[in-house]
Amino acid sequence: METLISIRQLVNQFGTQRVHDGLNLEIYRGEVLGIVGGSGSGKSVLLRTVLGLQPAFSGEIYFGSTELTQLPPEDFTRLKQHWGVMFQRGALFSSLSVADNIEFPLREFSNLSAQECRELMYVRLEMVGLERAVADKFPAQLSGGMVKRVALARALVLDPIVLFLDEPTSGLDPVSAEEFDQLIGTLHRNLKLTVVMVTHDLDSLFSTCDRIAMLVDKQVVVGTLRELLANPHPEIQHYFSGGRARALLRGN
Amino acid sequence: MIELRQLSQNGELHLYLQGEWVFAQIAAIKAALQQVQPVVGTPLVVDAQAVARLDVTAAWVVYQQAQSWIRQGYEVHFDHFPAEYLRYFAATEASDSSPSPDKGRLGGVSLSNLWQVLRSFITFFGHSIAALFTSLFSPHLFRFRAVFHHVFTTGISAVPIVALIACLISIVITYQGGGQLRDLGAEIYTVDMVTISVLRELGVLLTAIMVAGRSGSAFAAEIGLMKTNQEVDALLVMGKDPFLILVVPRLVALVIALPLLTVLADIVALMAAALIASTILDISFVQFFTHVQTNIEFRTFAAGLIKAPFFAVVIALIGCWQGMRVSGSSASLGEHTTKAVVDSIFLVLLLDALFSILFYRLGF
Repeated sequence: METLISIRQLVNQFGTQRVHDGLNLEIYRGEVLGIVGGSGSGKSVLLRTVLGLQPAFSGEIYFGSTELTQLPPEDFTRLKQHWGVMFQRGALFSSLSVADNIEFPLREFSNLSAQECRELMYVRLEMVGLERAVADKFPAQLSGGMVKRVALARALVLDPIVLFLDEPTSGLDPVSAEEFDQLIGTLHRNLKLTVVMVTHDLDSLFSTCDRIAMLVDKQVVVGTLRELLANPHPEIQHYFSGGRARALLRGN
Repeated sequence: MIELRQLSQNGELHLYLQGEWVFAQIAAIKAALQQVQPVVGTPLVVDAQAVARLDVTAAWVVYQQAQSWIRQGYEVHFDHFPAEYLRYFAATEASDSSPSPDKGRLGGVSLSNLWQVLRSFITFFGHSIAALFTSLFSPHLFRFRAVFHHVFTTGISAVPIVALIACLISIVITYQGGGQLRDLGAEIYTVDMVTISVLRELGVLLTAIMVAGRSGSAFAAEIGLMKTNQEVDALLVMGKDPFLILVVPRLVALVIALPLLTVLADIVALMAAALIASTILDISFVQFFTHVQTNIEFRTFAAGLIKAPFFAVVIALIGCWQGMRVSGSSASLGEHTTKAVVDSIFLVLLLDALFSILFYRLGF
């Protein structure tokens, strides 16, 4: 397994409160990694640190062979073009139409013609399973599920190597959530993506993720679902022994 | 790096894609595809077997080129090309209908549009006044804390800037007018000029404009954000009238704050005028205020002050109304905040002109 992203000895601290204390995590190329943990365990902080939205207190983050925490901003910007990020509530630009939202990265980072940008935008809409008519709408006119799909289309438009998803299925009804999980699975296979998702949704965890990284004691415990279930750590046991988790496990 | 190797085999022209066919190489890919010279009768075969990486954008560029060759009458086959990409592209082409006509989003102001805006304001105005009367007759509905809060934010925190503006405008008038009148030997009339212009017009007008810029925009933005955040809907489903909670306190607070600010502006302006007059025109403080006392009637002051509550109503209602009209996007929030300021300043000036005519007719 080739390592794509490697987090080493990461420490994050707010005031005197440590969120991560010597956290190590390897993300392999081509896998779907789910990051889970209770509220306040530092899932979002971990994601924000990797994305460079928040400086790490100490530690190193490698993307391929490049160390990110000391990288000059302009190099980091160039590198980030290989990343697609989908935020929890979509973060679509509310003053731009769906078409302009998706075309925005294309127009900023390439010299494709307006016509080509538009065609490529339609290809991305097709990929995330939306109709062409959606393109002329504004984010405020979309349903929650459509916002997520448009956000995913925008994240995919620069052909990223790795896709970061923050709570991809939160706020969706079970049917839409399942469809979205399937969509992520399909795109992962078709585009050979590496997917890193922070999630609360046990369904997506069980159905989509190859490995699970659980934040426990300011560090992560990584493994397949089976390995985590066999882990005797009380917090992990507690997380997977809730009624909903048990029901899902029985179903599987 | 990309490479496009052309090989003629079995009467077919094979195009082998090699290297990293990715987004960053689009320009090179297009150039490489332009090099290909298809021949009629020789089918082209695009072969992606040896490619290290082929991403969607690059694949699409190749696909588009293939489509244009097909349109020119050549035969094109894909070999080892990712099937799912071809499926995506084919599906996109299939649903390719004529582009939807532009609905004319920026179609200008039509008459029906204007009527809608007017109707919206009349509805809003009526609703606000109804809410105001409701709360006046049932004091337990009246939100004193909110009113105090808004009196503080719109009134007390505006004191420094309003005082400064009043001071500056009065310095301007005293200097400009005093200089002219001194040449005529009539410098004592500078006092009349400054006092009347400030008390009747400028004090209240500049204060109102300042407040429109500060508080009108704040009202629109506050309520607009609450609207986009569905806080207004939350109030509605709780059975609370948003007008009672959001509009009435702001309206009442501004009706209290603006006259007080006007009085403050008048006082500061007269003090500043007296100071400048004593330095450049040799009119002492005592002389200045004695002249004011004997020559200026109380109604000059009243004529200015009486306009303040009307201006306050206009500013508060326009601000809140524009806030309520915000929908969805951040652009809409900005648009309506701007409108709140521009419209309320315009209406304040219009109202001021009407008052001038009215006072003239009444001999006030």
